Amino acid sequence: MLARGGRARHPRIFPGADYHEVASSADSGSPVGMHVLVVEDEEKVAAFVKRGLAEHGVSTEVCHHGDEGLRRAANEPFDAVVLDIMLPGRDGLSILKKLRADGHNVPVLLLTARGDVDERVEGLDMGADDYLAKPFAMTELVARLRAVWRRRTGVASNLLSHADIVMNLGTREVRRGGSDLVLTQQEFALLECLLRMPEKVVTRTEISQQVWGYQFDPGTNVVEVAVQRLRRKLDEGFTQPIIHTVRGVGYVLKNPA
Amino acid sequence: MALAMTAFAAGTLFNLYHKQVAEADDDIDSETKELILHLAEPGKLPETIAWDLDPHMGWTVFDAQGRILKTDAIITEEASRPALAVAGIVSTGGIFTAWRVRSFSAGPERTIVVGYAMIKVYNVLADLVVAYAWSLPLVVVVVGVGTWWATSRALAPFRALAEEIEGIQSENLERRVPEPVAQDEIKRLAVSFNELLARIAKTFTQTKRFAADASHELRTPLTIMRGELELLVRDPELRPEQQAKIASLQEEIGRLDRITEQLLLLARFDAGQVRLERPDIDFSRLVAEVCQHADLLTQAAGVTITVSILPALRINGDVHHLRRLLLNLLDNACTHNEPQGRVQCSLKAEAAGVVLSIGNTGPGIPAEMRERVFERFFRADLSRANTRGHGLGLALSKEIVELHGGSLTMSDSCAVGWTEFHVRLPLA
Repeated sequence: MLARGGRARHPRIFPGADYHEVASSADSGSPVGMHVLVVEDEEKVAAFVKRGLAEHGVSTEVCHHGDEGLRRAANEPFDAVVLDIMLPGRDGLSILKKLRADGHNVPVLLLTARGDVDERVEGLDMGADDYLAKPFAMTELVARLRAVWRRRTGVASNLLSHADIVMNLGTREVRRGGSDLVLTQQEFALLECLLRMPEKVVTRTEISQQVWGYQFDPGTNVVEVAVQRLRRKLDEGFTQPIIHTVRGVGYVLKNPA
Repeated sequence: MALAMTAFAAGTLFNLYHKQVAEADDDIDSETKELILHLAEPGKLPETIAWDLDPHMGWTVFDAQGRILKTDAIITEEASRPALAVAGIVSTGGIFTAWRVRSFSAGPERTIVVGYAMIKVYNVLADLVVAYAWSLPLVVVVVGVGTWWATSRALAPFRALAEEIEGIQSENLERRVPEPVAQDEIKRLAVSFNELLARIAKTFTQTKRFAADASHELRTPLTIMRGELELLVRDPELRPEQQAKIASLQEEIGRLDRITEQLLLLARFDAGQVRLERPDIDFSRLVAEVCQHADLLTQAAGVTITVSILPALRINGDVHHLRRLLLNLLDNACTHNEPQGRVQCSLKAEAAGVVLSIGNTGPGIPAEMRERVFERFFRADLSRANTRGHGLGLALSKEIVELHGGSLTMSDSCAVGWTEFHVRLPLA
């Protein structure tokens, strides 16, 4: 349902919660320089989205009202629009409909309530490029913004890399120091999750949500077991470990050098 | 009805018997008076009188010593003698030779006994019994047929109403049953049923809206908290213990989020809002796939899993919901287990469908609590020492299975230390 760009999407391991289905299918690349309009009436949500996107080098403009959102999306040159569905004034779906009817093809990412399948299908039918269900993780928002942008523009690359690890999201190949690694789907998703935040701690909750769709409580060391398996494959033949544990918090991908 | 008829017959017979006995006594009295009149002439002895009595009556003359001086051959000595000792009318003789008899003294040293043969009463009663035996079954049949015809005519409008009501489902709560013009009970019933429907429809709409409203209202603060914490946890200024606190808060928000999701899903199930996509799928394959991925769960829980699946069993099912169901059951089997425990998953065919059994070692659930495992927020462990899970998984699983036309049950024949759940689903 999301493979709108004609790209094959790898199946999820535990597609429990729909809302994160795309995280690991998203294309990547440096997000620096993207200019995004966020139409969201909850000021606090808008505020942390703005801050979070700023950390990834995305500049953001925020508006809280539907009518203003439509006016700005139609008249200003944004690289993408993040559109909440429930808005004062014009609602998100109606803004989307009007934009498409008037011939604007700016990529639109809808924010929906999870489980509202009807809303979501309707949104995609109306020409939304993707949707993200609340509550969402910032890394997902970034990944999906990049993906919709790339699908529209062809800009941005399929590669994620840190230290001597290179991950190709298109071919689903992973190399460390020049040798190929064979990873399972969930190991791939887990490594992707860490690679999106290199040198920064990624919490167990974030990992469990992005890899398993929040199906499991990170309190049952499912994440730990999965990380151990990934570590064995990554560190085999290398003296320096690359995944480090931050006790009580999560994991961090560190450049051994 | 036959019982009532029998009671009626017995009643009339009993009544008639008493009437007949009273009549016999009256006859004895009047005949006695007549005889006394005959004997009024002085010196006339009773044994010398020629006296015609009713054919059912008889008389005997005794002397002072109790010897029979005269009898009319109708009444016997055994029937008449007991009367000598009693003042009033008494019953004497055997069952079929019963008499009502009375004695009175007639002149010096003479006692006369007048009797009435009960056989006459019996004959009357026997005639009535025969009449009853012929007529009562006929009455029962006629009344039965009549009643059936009358009630089915009277109930026809109710039947029509019932058929109308059966057609009303959660999807067409806007429908109303037709209200007849006649001001009768049917009209009243139809009107009150329609009012009830209106109230149900209202509650239903409210429940549906609740699910949608609640999902928005709960998710907004969750989204904010999660977003803020996600940014905060990577703040380079933080000390490790502060970072750990934030990670722990994140986990709690994750838990809240899962509870919210499951509650809302249950609300949608309740409101009949969940529409399943049910293509023909290879259920064996789905189970195998989920079991394979569940090895992470078993490894995390330190238990081993054995899987036996009969291949190529097809059902009509919603893959998304079925996967949620399978993971839920496997997750339960892993977490409510014991160290080095076992999980067993088997899929077999049954006459009517497929049966998936997921069992595990562990403390199990006490028999008296088994009924309640599918209740929302139920936990067998009352101490809540195991804070994982929130008691909604099995309730949700049951809804999923039932929406597929199947059943989810807990085996009640489990040995100690073994818990087993059975999912039964109809074949495609």
